[in-house]
Amino acid sequence: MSECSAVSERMPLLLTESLDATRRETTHQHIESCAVCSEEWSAYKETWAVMGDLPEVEVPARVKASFLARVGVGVPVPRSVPNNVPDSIPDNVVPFHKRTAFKWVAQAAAVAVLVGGGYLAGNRTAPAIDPTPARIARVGEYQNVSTKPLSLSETRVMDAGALDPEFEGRPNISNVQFLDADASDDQIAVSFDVTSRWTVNGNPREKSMVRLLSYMLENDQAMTPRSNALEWVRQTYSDPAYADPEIANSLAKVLRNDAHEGVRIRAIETLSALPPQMTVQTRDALIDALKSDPNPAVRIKAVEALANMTRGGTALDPGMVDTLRQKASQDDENLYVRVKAAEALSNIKP
Amino acid sequence: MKTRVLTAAIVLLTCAPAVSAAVSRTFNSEQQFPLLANGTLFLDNPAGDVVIHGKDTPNIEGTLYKRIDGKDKAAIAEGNLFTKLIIGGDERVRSLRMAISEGASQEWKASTAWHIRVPRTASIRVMTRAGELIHISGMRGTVQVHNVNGRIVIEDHVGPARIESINGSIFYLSPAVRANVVLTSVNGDVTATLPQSAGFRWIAETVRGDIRTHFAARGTFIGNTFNGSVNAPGGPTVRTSSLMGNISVFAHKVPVRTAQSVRRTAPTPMPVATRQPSTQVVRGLFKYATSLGDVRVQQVLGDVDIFTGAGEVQLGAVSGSLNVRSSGGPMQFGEINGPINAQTRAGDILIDSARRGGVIATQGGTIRLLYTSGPTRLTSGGGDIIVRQAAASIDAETASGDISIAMDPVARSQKIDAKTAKGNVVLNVNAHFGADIDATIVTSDPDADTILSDIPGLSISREQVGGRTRVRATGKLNGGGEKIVLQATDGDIRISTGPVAPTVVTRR
Repeated sequence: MSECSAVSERMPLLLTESLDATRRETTHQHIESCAVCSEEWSAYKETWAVMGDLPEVEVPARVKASFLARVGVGVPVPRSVPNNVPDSIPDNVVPFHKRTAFKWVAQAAAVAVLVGGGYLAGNRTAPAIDPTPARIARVGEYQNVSTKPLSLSETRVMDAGALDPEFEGRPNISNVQFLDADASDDQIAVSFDVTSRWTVNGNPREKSMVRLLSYMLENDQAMTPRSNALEWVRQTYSDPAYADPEIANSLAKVLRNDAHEGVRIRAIETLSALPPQMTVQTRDALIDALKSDPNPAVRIKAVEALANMTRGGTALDPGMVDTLRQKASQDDENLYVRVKAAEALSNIKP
Repeated sequence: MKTRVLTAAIVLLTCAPAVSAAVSRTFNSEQQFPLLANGTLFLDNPAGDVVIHGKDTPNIEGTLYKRIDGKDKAAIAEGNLFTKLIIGGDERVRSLRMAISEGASQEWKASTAWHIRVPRTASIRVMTRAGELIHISGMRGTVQVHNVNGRIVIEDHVGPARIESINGSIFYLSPAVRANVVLTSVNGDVTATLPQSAGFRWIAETVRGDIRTHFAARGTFIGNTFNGSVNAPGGPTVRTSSLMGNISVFAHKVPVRTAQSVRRTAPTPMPVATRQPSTQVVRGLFKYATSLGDVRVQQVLGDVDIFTGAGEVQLGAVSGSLNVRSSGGPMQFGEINGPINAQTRAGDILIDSARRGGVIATQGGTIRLLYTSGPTRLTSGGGDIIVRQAAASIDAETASGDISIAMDPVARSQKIDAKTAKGNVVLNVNAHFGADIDATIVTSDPDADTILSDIPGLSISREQVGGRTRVRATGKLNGGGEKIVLQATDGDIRISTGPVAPTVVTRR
C-alpha cells in the first residue's frame, strides 16, 4: 500500500505533466495494475475536467491588496483602498501577470488537496482490495465507424467531442503544448504528437491501400529495412490483377532518390517484376537510372532489365534508343553496361 | 548500270513485304529542290531506303517512292493522304522530312524510298530509323548518317564523315583520307577500305569482335581500343568502333583474305618500364645530362639533347631533332619529326616513327623501328634489327641477330644494305618492287641456309671459301632498280611479298 500512497501523491503531478518520463511510466504502470489507484486516477481526471469547466473568477482588488499587504508587498490600489496599503511595488517583488499555465497548475493543486484529502479519509474506512492482474483494455483495431473516411495527415485539428474519452492502451504522447488563444472564452487547446500503431486491412487494389503503400515507399524513414518492404511490394504487386501506376511511380521515385544502392537495386527488381501494364513507367524509370545513377551496380541492374524488356518486345522511343546508344558507346562506362545496352538495342526490329 | 541495278533492288525490296500485306501500293514522284553546290541537305526518313549520288550540278533531283501497305484500298488511300513530305529551308540548307499526320482511322504502314542526286560538294545529313539500306556515293562534302537498322554504304567519298548505326553494318570506301572519319556501330560490323598509301591515325574499338587490317599499323591497346598509326605519322583520324561487331580496315586492291588480326598479333614489348612520364610537355630545346638516371618526357616541342650515364630514356613525340646518348640503358621514342641520333652502349631501342631517318645504334640489344621515311642507319653489336615499314633507304648491320626489313607497300624501289654476321635477313617488298639484288650467304650448312625470293629474276651461284659455302644471288627484280645488298652468315635470306602484320606494342 505504500506504493499506492506514493502513486497517489504523484497523481497531481502526473495530471499536470510535471513528472519525468521514468516516473510517469512507473506511475502509469501501477495505475493500470492497481484497481484502487486506477479508480482514484479516474476521480482525479474527472475532477480535473470539472474544474476546467468552472468559470474563472477574477480576485477582487480589495482582497488581493489586503493579501499583499499582509505578506509585506503592495500593488497600486484604488483610492478606495485604506491608506495603510503600500502604493508602490518593492524592488524585490516581480509583478504578477496572469499566465495561461497558471490556470491548470492551480487546478492541479486544488485537485491534489481535494482528492488527497478524500483518499486519506477513504483509505482508512474502505475495505482492502486485492490488486488485479494487468490487462490491456483493447488493442487498437480501428473500426470504420465514421461515415467519412479517416485520412492520414501530418497535423489534425479536432473537437474534444470527437475524441473518445476512453483511450485504448497507452498511446505515447509527447511534445505537448497547451494553447489558449482567447482567454476570455471557455476554450482551450492541447496540441501533442501521438504515436499509435495502425493496421489497415484492405485489398491491394484499393486506392487507399495503394496510396498508403506509395507514401511509405517514398518516405525513406517509414520502413526498415526498406529492401524487405520492396520485396513485399514486389510479391504483392507483380500480380497483374493488382497493377497500379502509382506503385510503379513510387518505385521510380525510390530508384531516383534513395541514397542506398541496395534499395535502388531492389527497386529495379521490383519494377521489373511489375505486370506488363506498367511497362511504360518501368521503362522510363530504368532509362533514367541507366542515364544518371552514379552507382555502376544500379546501372547494370537497370540495363539488364531494359535488355530483358526489349527482348520481350517492349518498344523504345528515340530518346531511349539514343540513351542506350550513348551508353553502349561510352568509353568510361562499365563494359557490362555497354554490352547489355548493345543487347537491348539489338532487339529493335526494323 | 550500277545505279539502275540499285534502283531496281530498292523497288524490289520495297515490294517484297507486299506479299504479306493484303494490299500494297507504291506511289512514285519525281522531285526537284533548289540547293547550292555548297549547300546542306538534311533528310529525315523514318522508314525506307535512301540512295544518294553526288553530281556536278546544283539542286536536288530524284525520285521518291512512297509505299503504303494496308488492309484495303481505303487504308491505302488514307495512308497516302496522311504520309506527307515536309520541305523546309532554302537553297543553302534544304530540309526534307517524311512525316505521318495524326488522326489515322485505319491500319496501314508507310515507308519511303529516296533515290536522289545532290551536288557532290554539298554536305548531307541523313537520318533513318527503319530501312534496309542507305547508300551514298560520289560525295566530297561532309557526310553524316545515322540509322538504327540496315546497312550503310558510303562509296567514293572524300571529306569528313560521321556514320553512326545502332544495328546496321557500315561499309566505307574512300579514294583518299583527307579529313577525320568516324564510323560507329553498336551491333553491326564496320568496314573501311582506304588507299594503300593513306597515312592516318587509326582508332579501333570492339569488345566482342576482331580488328583486322591489311595495313602495317603500329600502335598499342588501351583496354579494348587500339590506338595506332598507319603509314606516315600524323594525318587525319579514322575512328572505327563497333561494340559487338568486327572492324576491318582494308587497303584498296588487296585481297580481303590477307588481312591480319590486330588482336592476335604477337605483342612487341616496350623496352622501358611503363611509369608515367615525369614531365608532360617541354617547349623549346630540351637539354639534359645525368650520370645516373632515367629521362621520361611525353612531348618535346623542339630539339632534344640528352646524355645519361646509365638509365632509361623514354620520349613521346619530338617535333625537332633527337640526339640521345646513353652509356647503358634502353630507349623508347614516339613520333620523331627531326633527324635521329640515338646511341646506347647496351639496351634495346624502340622507335615508333622516324620521319627523317637518322642513326640508331646499340652495342648490345634489339632495335625496332616501326616506321621511317628518311635514310636510316641501324647498327647493333648483338641483337635483332627490325624495321616494320621503311619508305626510304636502310642500312642495317648487326654482329649477331636477324635483320627484318619491310618496305613501304607503295615503294617502287629503295636502296637497302643489310648485313648480319650471324643470323637471317628477311626483306619484305611489294610485288612490283624494282631492285638490283646482290644477296650473299656464307654458311657451313648450305642445305639448310638458302636464299629464297617470291619475285623471280635472281640467279644463284655457289662457291667454297675457306671450308664454308658462299651462296650468292644476283639479278634484277621487276626490271631492276636501286641496289640492294643483303648478307647473312649461317642464316637464310628471304625476299617476300606477303602481308606485313600490324605491330602492337604492349607493356612489358
